[in-house]
Amino acid sequence: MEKELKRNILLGFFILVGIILFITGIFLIGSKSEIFKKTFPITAKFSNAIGLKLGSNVRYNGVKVGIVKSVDLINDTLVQVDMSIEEEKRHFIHSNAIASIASDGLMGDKIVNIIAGKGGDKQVKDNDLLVAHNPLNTDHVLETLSQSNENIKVITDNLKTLTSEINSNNGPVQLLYKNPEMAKQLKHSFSNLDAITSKVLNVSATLQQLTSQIQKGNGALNTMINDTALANNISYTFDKLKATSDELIKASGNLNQTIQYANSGKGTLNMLLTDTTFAATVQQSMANIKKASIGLDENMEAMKHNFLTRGYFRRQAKKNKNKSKTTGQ
Amino acid sequence: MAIVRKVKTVFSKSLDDFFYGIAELAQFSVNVFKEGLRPPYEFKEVLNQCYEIGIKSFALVGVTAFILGLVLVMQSRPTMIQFGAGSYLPAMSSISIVREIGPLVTALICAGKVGSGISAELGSMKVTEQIDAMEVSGTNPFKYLVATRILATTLMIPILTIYADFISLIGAFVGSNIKDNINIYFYFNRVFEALHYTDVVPSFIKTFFFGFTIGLVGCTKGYNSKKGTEGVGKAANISVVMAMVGVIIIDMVVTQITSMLGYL
Repeated sequence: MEKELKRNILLGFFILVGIILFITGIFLIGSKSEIFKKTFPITAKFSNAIGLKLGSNVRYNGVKVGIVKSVDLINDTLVQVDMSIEEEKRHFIHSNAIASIASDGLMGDKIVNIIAGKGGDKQVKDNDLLVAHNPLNTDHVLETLSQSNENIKVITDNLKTLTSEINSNNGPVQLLYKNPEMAKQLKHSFSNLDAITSKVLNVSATLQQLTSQIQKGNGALNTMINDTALANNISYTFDKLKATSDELIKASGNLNQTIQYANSGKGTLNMLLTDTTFAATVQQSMANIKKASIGLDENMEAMKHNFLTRGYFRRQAKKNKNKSKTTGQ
Repeated sequence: MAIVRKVKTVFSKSLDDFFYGIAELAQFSVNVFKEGLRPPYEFKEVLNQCYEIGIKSFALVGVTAFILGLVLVMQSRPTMIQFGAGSYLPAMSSISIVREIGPLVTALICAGKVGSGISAELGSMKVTEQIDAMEVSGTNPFKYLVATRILATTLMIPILTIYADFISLIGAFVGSNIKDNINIYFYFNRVFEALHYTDVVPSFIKTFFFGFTIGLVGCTKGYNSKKGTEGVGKAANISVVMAMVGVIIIDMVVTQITSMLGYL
């Protein structure tokens, strides 16, 4: 009898624990499925509710606030998603909140994610219709990815060509890699470049010093840079120089023409330059003219002392004297 | 009680035996409800059988469930990690255990242990003419021996399944912690987050059918055993095989019905 009682007590304990475990499990599942919580309904309409199903989680800024109650097609383009939200979370959700369909993790189930709208608005009411932000189109993403893949393929092909060229025996990189002489030359070139760079740096420093001195000092260069009057003068001078240069160009052109004419074998000048007989004749004529001129001077002097012409010369001298007086006044 | 063959063969001997076995089971189950629901009720014997079936099978079911939960996670983990879904191990293990592994493993173990035990016990009583003696003494052997055992298996398999589910989930938790470091609160939170009533209720309901099948097959084969001790062994063997096949067929049917109702 006692043994039977013990067995029955043990059996009762066994069954009771089993039932408690079952009820606990049911309660825990129920608490996760919002069954024992007071809820209120809201709705959102999406163009695509792919992956969303009854019982999918509804999150507000990432925190679970409810579950999806139904997913129904209401016309050819819209899907109505009814959600059941915990009553105690109502004051967080405003009527301008935005509902979107998102993934719970990279491979997770689809969820409805509600985010707060811009600016404050009144608290959401029962059966309110939230603004729906339609989910990212996976096909579009795949299309973009496909395009990116094609680009990557082109890039890799180019890289392949480039690397094969690099690896080819006659390629410049391979040559550089295999030919130590070239490497030495390149090293030498680089050291030269280094030396040049240091010199350039020195020059640059010197120039910098010079320019600072020019800026600070009172020398001619500074005056040239800073004095606007001088700049005007220089400009004027340059204008003049330009005009003179133009004249010179013109004169040079004329001279060139003359020389060309002379070189063409025509005219006196060419004869004078090229014909030695003519030159000798001219020289002789010049000597004769000089001689004749001396003779003429003597004759003129004789005429000044001659009684017949002396009066004329005196009158001429007097007239010249008067003329110079009037011009001096 | 048993159906008596009036013709020698209809199709072939094996096919005839198969259909005869089904008819025997149907006849037996009708009698169980007829006799079992009629007072007086044998509560004491029911409790006794519950103890024998429930508590005495608990250790075996518990150990098996623990090991299966642990192995399930350890086997699934590399593939899940490979797909970047390592964090879904608790959800995967909980759904697998609650929907299928827990009920099926409990039923199969009980089909082996309890079904064969019932069949052997009733077969021994049959061949030693104890059942005939009970009838002579005015006790209804069907009510006392068969109905009580079938009721006990029908009630105890669901309870054992609840235990098996929880122990298996603990095994899965241990399995998860062999390679990863998950705290128990996080693990069970993920487990119950993944589960829905649609996972629990159909799998719990089918365990009643499992229990009924195990008890019915064991009692039928034992009660109708013949040919002395050899027949007892044969009856025990057949009852185990038939109970296991019956459990798997019921599992398939329940899964189909659940799927048709849109709960899968």
